[in-house]
Amino acid sequence: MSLLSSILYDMVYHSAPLILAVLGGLFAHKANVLNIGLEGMMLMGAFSSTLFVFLTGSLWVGILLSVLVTLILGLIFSFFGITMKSNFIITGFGINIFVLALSSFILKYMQMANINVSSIVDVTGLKINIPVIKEIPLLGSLLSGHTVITYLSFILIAVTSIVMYSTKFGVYVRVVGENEEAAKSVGINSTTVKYAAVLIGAALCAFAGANLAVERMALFTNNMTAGRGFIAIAAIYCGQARPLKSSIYAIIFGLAKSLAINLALFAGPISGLFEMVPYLMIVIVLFIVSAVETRHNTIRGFKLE
Amino acid sequence: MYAIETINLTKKFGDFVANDNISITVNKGEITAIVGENGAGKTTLMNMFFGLQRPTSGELIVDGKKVAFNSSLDAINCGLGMVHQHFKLVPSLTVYENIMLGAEITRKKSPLIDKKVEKKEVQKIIEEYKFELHADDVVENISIGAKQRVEILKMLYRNVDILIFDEPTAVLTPQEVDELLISFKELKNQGKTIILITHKLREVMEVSDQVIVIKRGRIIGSKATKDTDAKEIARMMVGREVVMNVNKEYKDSSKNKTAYSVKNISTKNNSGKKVIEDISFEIKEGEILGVAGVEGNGQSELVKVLSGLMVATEGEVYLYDKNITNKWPDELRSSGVGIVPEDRYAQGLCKDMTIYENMIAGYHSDDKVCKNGIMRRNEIEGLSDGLIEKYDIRVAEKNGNVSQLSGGNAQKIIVAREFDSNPNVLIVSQPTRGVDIGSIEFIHNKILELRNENKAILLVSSELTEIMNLSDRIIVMYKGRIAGEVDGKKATSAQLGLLMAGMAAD
Repeated sequence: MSLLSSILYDMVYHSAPLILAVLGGLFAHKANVLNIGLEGMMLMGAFSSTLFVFLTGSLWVGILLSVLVTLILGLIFSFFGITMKSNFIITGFGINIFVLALSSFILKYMQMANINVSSIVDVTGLKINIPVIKEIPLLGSLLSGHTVITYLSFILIAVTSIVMYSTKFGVYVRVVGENEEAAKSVGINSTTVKYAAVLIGAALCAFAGANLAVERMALFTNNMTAGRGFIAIAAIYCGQARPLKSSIYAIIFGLAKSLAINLALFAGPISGLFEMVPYLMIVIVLFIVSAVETRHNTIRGFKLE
Repeated sequence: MYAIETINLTKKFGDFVANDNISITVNKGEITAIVGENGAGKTTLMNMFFGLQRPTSGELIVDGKKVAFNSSLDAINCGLGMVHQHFKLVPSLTVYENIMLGAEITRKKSPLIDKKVEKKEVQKIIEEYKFELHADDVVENISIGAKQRVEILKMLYRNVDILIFDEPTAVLTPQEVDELLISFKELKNQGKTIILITHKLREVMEVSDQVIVIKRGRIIGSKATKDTDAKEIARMMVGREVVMNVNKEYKDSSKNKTAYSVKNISTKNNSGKKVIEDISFEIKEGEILGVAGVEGNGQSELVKVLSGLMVATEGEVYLYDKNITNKWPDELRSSGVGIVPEDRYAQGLCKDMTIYENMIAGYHSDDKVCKNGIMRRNEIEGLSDGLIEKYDIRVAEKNGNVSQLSGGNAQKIIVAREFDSNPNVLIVSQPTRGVDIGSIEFIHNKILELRNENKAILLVSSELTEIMNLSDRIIVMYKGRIAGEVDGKKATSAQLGLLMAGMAAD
């Protein structure tokens, strides 16, 4: 594969978990729930999917169980953040730290440095090669040879747009976020809507984690999400929580990661420096986005409602 | 049978009794007005009717059946609808989406919303009640009056028979008020029961059949409207004779020195939309310039620009000969501009700080209160005690926080602080919003006193009577521009109303 086609392939490859986390996080964001627990939920997905595949010996049973476990995590977050009205940032942080600690603890307990399930999951076999298209240069590496969840993530961009703008549930999520009183006054149960929004996020984060760990590498290593949940939050913020726009930001971050990996090959001794490209990219993108937004600011010191 | 009957309805918040043994009856097909001062407990009572709050004790009977509402949906299902003072609308959705919210129509066998059918349904009911509305408009772009009509339709679509209106005229132009009163009569003709909560007596006298007066959570009296008059109701509300008009003598100030001049001020909001455009005016010494207008026509932004909370993109502001354009609030205050901001708790006071700390807020760099960077607590407390006395502020505890004070007394702290700093120019915005009648009288008299001391005063208010009673000249704002100027002595509310609605007076 030429350099360009491997950059394109890796872009799609690294975008998929980000897109899933973005689409999942969108619902909570629109419902005015600040979910910084995306990172922890994704890590839970990665860890539990690998663990359950390891324990059950079946890929899809493992992923299904992983979704269930992550939903429970979502319920915990919702219970504390929404029902008990505790601070979202602290609750979300609690979730992130808890999952990190839990996964390292279990690894220690099982006396393993990582969970390797390559004997159960055939990673190359999971890649779907599309006939004809895969022969086309560049386009082939962009569209062909990815896994089911990767394709799913791109399809979900359209599905999310429809759900958000053309269904009752989507309208309710947006109404609850924009004017909770309006929702309550016509009998919409805002708590239920918020729970649902967080749980959708949890489920999609579980898929993102499973995609990251078991589906692509058949391997879980400590803290393997490495801040992707936070990158997703940045993408949601930059894209004003619109499904397509936020996903495009997710793809931009995917591209940054892909560039970092592919260009590091030529960097020799300083290749490690390229690791920071995606993170540097976030800071730059966030800076540009908020610089553009506040360009015409005329209000001093406080927010005009 | 009554539409609504309450028996000893009581609501307590901790030790505070908001509603104390309320027993009232509302007749079917009539308009019942519930009046009382701010904080008298009217809204709490209505929130219990609409299922937003649960009574501590007592019974609520609707259509002869005892009910206990857990949510507003229960109330709606019982035929009770409420049009709130602060609209419960979603700005980014269209008129029809707002009306159908919670009752969406979906396409057969699919979860997708059928927008076409929804639009048609809404159009039908708009025509049925002869309302001026377009189903397709996005709510954030329509006028306040139109938003209110959306709220009313939202309830009518749900087939309610009893409509509760919470201060419906607070934000309307005089003409819109008239239209609303006509709608009330139309709704009454169609057999609806209306409960009107208000403190404006004109409306009460014009449309209601029955008046119920509430004071400090208790029923003071209940009368048929035809057996009473505005004066009697006002006395019942306040508990003493009320002077309903301020005595004001007009003086010719046109030959006085110009104290404050604003030249071609414009600014944009953060989304780049021009919110005020090309505003110019002058205020002479000893003159009160009133700024009237329906809320949301740029008055708020104008005050923010003039008080240093927002930046003007164009234009200049002068205090005598000194250019004070885009100065920060502390610089404005030290150069002699007193500021009474629009929202007293957001911009005028810090609720969780003490009264004496609030009494010097904005004047921290004054040598009297701060020396070498150290606050002089004894001096500050002395100053604060003096002002509490002078401005008759009723405080339970002198070292207590501002949050313990009623709206009227909290507002008096700002008034005391700003008026006593001996400013050359005063910018006063919504000075009596949510303030009891006693304090309103007091604040109005203080404003007039300052004018007689030759100060220049800019008075911005959404209460038209306040503007008309106090101002020497009145400018009216419409869509961020000055729509016209009227002599304060000759102004009529009809004339101002036309300007407020954007129709130039001939």
